[in-house]
Amino acid sequence: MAAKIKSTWHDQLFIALNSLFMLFLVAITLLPFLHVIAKAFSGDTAIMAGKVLFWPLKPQINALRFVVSSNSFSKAFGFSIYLVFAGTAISMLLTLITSYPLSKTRIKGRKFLLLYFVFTMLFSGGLVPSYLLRYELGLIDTYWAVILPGLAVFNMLIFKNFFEQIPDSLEESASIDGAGNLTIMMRIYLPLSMPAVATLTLFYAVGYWNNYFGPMIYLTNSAKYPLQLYLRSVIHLASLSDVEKSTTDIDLLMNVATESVVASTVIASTLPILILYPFLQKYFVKGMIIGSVKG
Amino acid sequence: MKIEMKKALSLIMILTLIVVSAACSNTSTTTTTTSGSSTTATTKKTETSTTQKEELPELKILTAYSAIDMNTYPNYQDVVDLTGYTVKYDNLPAEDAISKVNMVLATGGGYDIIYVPAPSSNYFKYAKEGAIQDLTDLIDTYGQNYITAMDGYKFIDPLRIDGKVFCLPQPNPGAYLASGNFIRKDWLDSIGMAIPQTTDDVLDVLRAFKAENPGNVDPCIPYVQGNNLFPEMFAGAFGVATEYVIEDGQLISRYRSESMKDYLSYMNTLFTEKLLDNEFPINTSEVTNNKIFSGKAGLFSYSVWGISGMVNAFKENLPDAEYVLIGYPKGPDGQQGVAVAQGYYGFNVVPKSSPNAEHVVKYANALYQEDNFVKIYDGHENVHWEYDDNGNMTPIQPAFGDERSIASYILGIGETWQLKYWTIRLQKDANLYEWFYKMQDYADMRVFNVPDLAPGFDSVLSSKDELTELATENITKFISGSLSIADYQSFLDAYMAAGGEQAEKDLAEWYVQNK
Repeated sequence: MAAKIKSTWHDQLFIALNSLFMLFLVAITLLPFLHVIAKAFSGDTAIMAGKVLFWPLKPQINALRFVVSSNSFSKAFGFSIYLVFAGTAISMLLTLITSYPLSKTRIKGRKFLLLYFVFTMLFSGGLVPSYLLRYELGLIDTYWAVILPGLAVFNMLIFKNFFEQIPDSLEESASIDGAGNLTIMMRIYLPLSMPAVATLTLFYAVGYWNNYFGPMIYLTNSAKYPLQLYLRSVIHLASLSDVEKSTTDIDLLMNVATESVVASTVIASTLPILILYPFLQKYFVKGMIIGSVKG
Repeated sequence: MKIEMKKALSLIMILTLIVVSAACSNTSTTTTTTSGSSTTATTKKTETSTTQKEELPELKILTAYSAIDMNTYPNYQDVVDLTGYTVKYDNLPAEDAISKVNMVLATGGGYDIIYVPAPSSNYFKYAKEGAIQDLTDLIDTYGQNYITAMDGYKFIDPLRIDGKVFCLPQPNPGAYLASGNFIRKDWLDSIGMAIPQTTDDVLDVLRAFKAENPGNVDPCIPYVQGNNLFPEMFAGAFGVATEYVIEDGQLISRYRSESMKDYLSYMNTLFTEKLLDNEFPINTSEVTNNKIFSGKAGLFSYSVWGISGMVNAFKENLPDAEYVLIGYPKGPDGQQGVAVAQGYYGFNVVPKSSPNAEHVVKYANALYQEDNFVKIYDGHENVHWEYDDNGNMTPIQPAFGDERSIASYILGIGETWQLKYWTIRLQKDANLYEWFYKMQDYADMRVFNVPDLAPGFDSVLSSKDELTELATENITKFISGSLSIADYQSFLDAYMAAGGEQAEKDLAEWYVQNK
C-alpha cells in the first residue's frame, strides 16, 4: 500500500540522504576489517612504518600461508571445529529436552523449576567453585569441562516461549492418534520450530567458537588449545610492553609473531564463523523476533 | 513438505548421535594416547631404575606458557633420560597466568611443581597462606647442583620467610642490557653536530633537530619514547633510574632524591618545547614504531628483541637513514646509568598436596648437573652445537633451531650460566647477535633497584599498587606541565603518607643490615 502513495521530492531526498548515511555507517564498521586484511597481506616493514591503512603495501601471502600451514594453527582449528559441533549438538539437545516440558502448563512444579533455572542465570557459584567441581569430576584438561554445562538458560527460555505459542490443539490431535510425549516433541513441535532451532544453533555455535575463557581455565595442555585461545596467546605475546618483556621468558620473546602474521591469524580464525551467518540469516531474524516478543 | 521435515529431523538426530559418540570416542582416544605414552615412559623408567635403587614417581609440572607441546618436543626425551624422572608437562596460559595458578592451587591439581609468575608478592602470598611447601632443608641437602647454577644463595635468600624458602626461584639476573638508545646519524651529520655526550648536549641536538628538521618530515619529533615516565635515555643521568636509590650511603625512595626536581624540569623542558613526543603517555610500541620508521624520529630507544625488524624496517622504508647507538648521556652531576630489571621471572613451588617435594628437589638437582643441563638446554655437542675456532659454542643449524627452541624445561638460571650457556641462543638471528653485543658495550652502566632482592616486607607489598598509581598520575602531570614543579612537595607528602614512608623505612633498615 505504502508504495502506491506518491512520494514528494523531499521524501525522496530524505531517503537518499538516509541511505547515504546508512552506507556511511556500514563503511565505518567495515573499515577495521579492511585494515586487518590489508595488514595480513602487507610486508612487515611497511606495517611498522605505519603506511598500511586499507590497501596492502609490499604485498605478500607468505604470512597467511605460514599461519594456515603451521601445525599449531591447524590443530587449534580442528579442536575449535570439534568444540563447535560437539558443543552445539549437546547444548541443543539439552535445551530441547529442558524447554519442551517447561512450556507445558500442566507440569506440576513448573514455576518452581523455571525459577530454579532462572536463578542460575542470575547467580553463579563463581570461578573457583566451578573449577573445583570440574576437578573433582576429573574433567580438567578435557573438552568436556568446556562443553558440559551445556545449557544456556537464556536460550532455553527463548525455546520455551517458542513452544508455548504453538497451539495446544496440535498436541491434542496427535495424542488422539496415539503419539506419546517424545513423538509429539520430536515430530510435531520440533519441525515447527525450525526458526528457533536455527537461531539457537547459531547462538551456541558462535558462543563455542568464540569461547576462549573456558578453555584457558580448564585446559592445561597448550597443545589442546582451540583457535581463539591460540589466537589470544599469539596476540598477547606480540603486544607485550617493555616492562612485561623484562619478566617474560627470553625464548618466547625470540619467537614473537610479526604483525602480518598476527593479522593473518585473525583473518584465518574469523572467516569460518563469518561464512556461517549468511546461511542461517533468514531463520535468524525470524527466530529472534518470534521468540522474544511473546513473554 | 512432510518428507523434508522428516529428513531434517533425522539429520539432526543423526548428527547429534555422531557428534556425541565422536565426543566420547575422541576422549577415549586421548586417554589411550596419554596412557600409551605413559606406558612407554614407564618402560623407560624401569630401564633407568635398574641402576637406581628406589622407584621414582612421575612428576607433574605446570609450567609457563609454551606454544609447543613440551611432552613431545625433542628436549623431552633428554629430560627423562638424564634426570631419571618421568615428567608430565602442562602449561599456563600466556595471558593472566596468575588467575589459573590461583585456581590450581585451590585444588593442588595433582601437580608436583607449579610455576608462579612474578611479581614476588604472588609467591609471598602463597607461602604465608600455607598453600606451598617449605623446601629449605631439601635444597640444602639435595640441591648442590641447583645452588651452583643459581650463583649460590643470591636469589634464594631474599625469598626467605623466617629463614625458610618455599620455592625454587626462576631468577632474572639482569646480566645484560636488552635495549639501547639510537640517534639518526644522518640527521646529526646534516646539521653538523657531534654525537651528544651529556644531557645538555642532547638538549642542544634536539633543539637543532626541531629547528632545522634535517629529515624534512612533518611533523619532526626529535625524541620519541614509549609510555615510560623514567626512560632509560635520561633517568640514569639524574640518578633516578630505579625506584629506590642510594644517596650518601642511605637507601631512599627516588621521589625523595634531590635530583628528582632537576629530572622533572629537564623532562618538562623537552615536553613544552615539543622535543619529546607529546603523545608519549599513550604511545604503544606499534605507534612508536610508526613514528620511528616513517622517519619522523631523531632519537629513540629500541629493544633488542625487535632489532631484526628494526634493521629491516629502516632498510626498506628509509634506505638512506643511518642510525648509531649513543649509550647513556651524562647528567649535570656527571651521573650516568641505565636501570636493568633484576629479580625473578617466576617461582617454582611445590603445592601442599604433593607427596613428592624431596623428588622435586632431586629432579631439579639432576637437571642442573652441568652436563645434563647443557644437553637439555643447548643440545648435544656436534649435533646441536660445536666449538668454533675461538672455543665459543656456536649452533649447528637447522638442528639447534628445530630441536632447542624452548627452554622452559629448565627451572631458571643465575648470571654465570646465563652468560655461558644462554648467549648461544642469540645466534639464531644474525642481527640480534650483532646488536646484542653492541649494546653490551654499555653493560657496565647497569644500575639495579636494590630492594628487588629484598625480602617481601608487608609495608612494601601492600602499598605498591597505590603508590605506583599515585606516582604515575603525578609524574605525568609534572612532565607535561599541568602540575607545577613548585608544587612537588605536596605530591611527595601524599606519596609518603600513602605508605611510602613505612616502605622506605623498612627497606632502609634492611639495607643497612645487609649492605
